[in-house]
Amino acid sequence: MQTPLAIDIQQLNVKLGSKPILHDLSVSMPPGAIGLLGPNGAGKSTLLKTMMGFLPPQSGSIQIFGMDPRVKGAVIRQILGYMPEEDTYIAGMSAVEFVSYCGLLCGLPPKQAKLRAHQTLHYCGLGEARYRKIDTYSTGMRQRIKLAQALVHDPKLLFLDEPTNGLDPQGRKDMLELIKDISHNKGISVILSSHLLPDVEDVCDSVMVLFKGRLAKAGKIRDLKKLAHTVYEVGIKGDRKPFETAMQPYHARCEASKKNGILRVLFSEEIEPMVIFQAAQAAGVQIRHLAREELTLQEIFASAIQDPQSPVSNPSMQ
Amino acid sequence: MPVYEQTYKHYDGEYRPFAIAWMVIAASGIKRLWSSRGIKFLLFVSLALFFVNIGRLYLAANKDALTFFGLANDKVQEVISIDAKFYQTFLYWQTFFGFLVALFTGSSQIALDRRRKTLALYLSKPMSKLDYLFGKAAIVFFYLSLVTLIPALLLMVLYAMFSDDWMYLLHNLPLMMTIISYSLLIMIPLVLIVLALSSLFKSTETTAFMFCVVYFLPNVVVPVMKAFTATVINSPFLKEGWELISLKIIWNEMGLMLFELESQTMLHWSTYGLALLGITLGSAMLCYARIQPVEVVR
Repeated sequence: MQTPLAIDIQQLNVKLGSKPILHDLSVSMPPGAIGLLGPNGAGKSTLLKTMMGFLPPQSGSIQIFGMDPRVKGAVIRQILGYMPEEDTYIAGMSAVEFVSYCGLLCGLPPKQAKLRAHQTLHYCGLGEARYRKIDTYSTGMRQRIKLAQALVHDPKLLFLDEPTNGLDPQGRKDMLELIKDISHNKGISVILSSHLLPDVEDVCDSVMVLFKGRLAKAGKIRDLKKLAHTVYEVGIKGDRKPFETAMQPYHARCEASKKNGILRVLFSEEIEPMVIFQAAQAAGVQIRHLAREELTLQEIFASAIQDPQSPVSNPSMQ
Repeated sequence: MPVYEQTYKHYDGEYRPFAIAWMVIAASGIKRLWSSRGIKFLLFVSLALFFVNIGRLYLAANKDALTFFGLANDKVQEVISIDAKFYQTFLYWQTFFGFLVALFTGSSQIALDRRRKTLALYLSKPMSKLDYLFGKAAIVFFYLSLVTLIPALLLMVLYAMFSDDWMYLLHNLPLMMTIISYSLLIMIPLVLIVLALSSLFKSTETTAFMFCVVYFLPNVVVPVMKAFTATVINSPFLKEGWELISLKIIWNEMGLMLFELESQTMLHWSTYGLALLGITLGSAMLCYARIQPVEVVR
């Protein structure tokens, strides 16, 4: 049986009050770690809230694991964990009380809620501090407890809204490791909303880029990074000319790179790097540097938001 | 040990039905409030009349004690007679303590969740706005019942016990029903008004202040407006109509009707009933509309 898409959105339009926020959004994503990128005000949080059924769409449809949030809102929210961007907690409660309370609200029996609260707090790195009042927690600890409350009922899908906000470099690294572990080893799909590209690049397999409420780009990061040509950066020791001649049988074009002493070798088709070594051997030069050139997420993001009207090459990823 | 190496286990047990989410909110809220000394002190003070009435019940059930204290005359007998008026008066006086308890327990319920943006957290769980509202209402309702419904019913039981006549309860089942109905007429509007105000403001103090205004201001406004209307328009209905903005007057009139006691007012009891229904429904609708996981800034 085919695995249902984690999210399937078709021609979605959402307004906040009278202001249109999301315009004609269509995208499908399989389960996994999905980054939701966009500058501030792009509509990322609005999209998350619409997927949870908080905001009714003006038109279009949303399916979360094949279910419509307007029809099966409660069922969806039971298989979904939400870590909000805002600093939200119930004052006067200890961490274990708070997480256990969230477990109860999600339908866990009391004993299980307490047990899982302890386990989840340990997992999120708050084991030592779990009996302390949340009011006394640092920003980093509050981010972790927000993650713990979202995980306590063992969701299938996690919505993380700016999870690294306000964290110091080590805290950010720990949080990203935790999210990576959740999405890659625990079988929980993650939608990570962030305006920090390295966070998304570090954790996610796929990405959706929103800009001014529209889908600017979507796809697997690996595919989006690919260039139209296969390009290698080659650093050689020796004469350039014989190497260029040796590359000709492979239909390769060589050009000088912006980087000092580096040659860009462009192939019109996918090619194994071994070819370059063979050409170097034939030309009697040494290879001192070899790297495949690909776009960075920064470049993908920049091109997406500079030209948001460009057709999205691959909005469906099934 | 790095955090990601620590344990996370999948849950393969059963989930409880969605419908009990409100009970979780209610149970947790009741427990947390109970841990405050303020509520215990307030409940103790609010039950002062209840304790005084226990003495009345004892004397009414033990005529010998009256003789012993030299109080066996008609006037005293009249004062301590246990009838519908006794229960109506008790509950009517308890409305003030009900107001205090609602003020103490209800002002922060939604206001704090809005201020701390916890509403989105609640509503991201498998529950509806109604579940949330029921849960919050149940917290206030529980504490209100401790100063209205429960002591009123206890008074009946104590009277039966003091007079050693348990059939009293059986013979007075309609009275018991009336006590329950009147208590509900007091509790439900109080709960919904305080929650509606709590949903309007993000500050507990502002909510409490506005609740005091809603409760006390009509007591000042009604006599003034009645006098003013009498000088301008010669319409007894319009003059009396001002009473419909006062919860105290409405409760009094509804109590007199329910306990089948004589009323002095010119308006029919159904007018007061409709006013109470309007206030209650209005508050409920306001609450429901204000409980939003996303705040839209227009």
